Amino acid sequence: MIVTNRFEILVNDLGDIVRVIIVREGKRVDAFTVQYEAMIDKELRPTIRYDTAHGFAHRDMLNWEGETIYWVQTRNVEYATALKEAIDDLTTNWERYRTELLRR
Amino acid sequence: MNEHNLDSETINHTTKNLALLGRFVREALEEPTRFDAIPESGAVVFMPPDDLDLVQHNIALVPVQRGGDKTITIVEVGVPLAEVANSRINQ
Repeated sequence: MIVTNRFEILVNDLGDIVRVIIVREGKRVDAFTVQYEAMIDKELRPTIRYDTAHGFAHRDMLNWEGETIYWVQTRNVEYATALKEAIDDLTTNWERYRTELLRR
Repeated sequence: MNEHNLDSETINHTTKNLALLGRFVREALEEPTRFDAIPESGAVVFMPPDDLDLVQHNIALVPVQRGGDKTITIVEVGVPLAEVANSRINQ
């Protein structure tokens, strides 16, 4: 049975969150979205998004309106692995991505 | 607190919470019933089993972030499944 898990994680006292959507069947991941949103001037601003739209895992850099500025294809691995690697990349680089948003 | 210039404590807690998300996803993909701890709506705060500083920080997030009717669910990461089911708290 295909299940969709949607949730948002509170990550700090500024109000930043991570939105997660995982479409899966058991342990198999069929699609996912992981999006970091920064609380800036009392509004949540999408900063970076990892997802599987267009049939492959990739990372989208976003502007103030949440639109894609550019995207980078990530490793061609099964989506469960790509999901873990996406979160690892976010854990390592979130601060830089957030700072880049503020500079746009 | 300046949302444009992050202090070291905010950076530290954010990084740890993201690592907890990674840990939860890994555990849940190994044992998919762990996803049952995730609510269908509202927000989630993860609790680590081994970091008292982060636990205290994340507990403090609950009243701050709870605005309007948002439900906050605390999810423990890195504990046995039976204890996860018993520890779910809806705020």
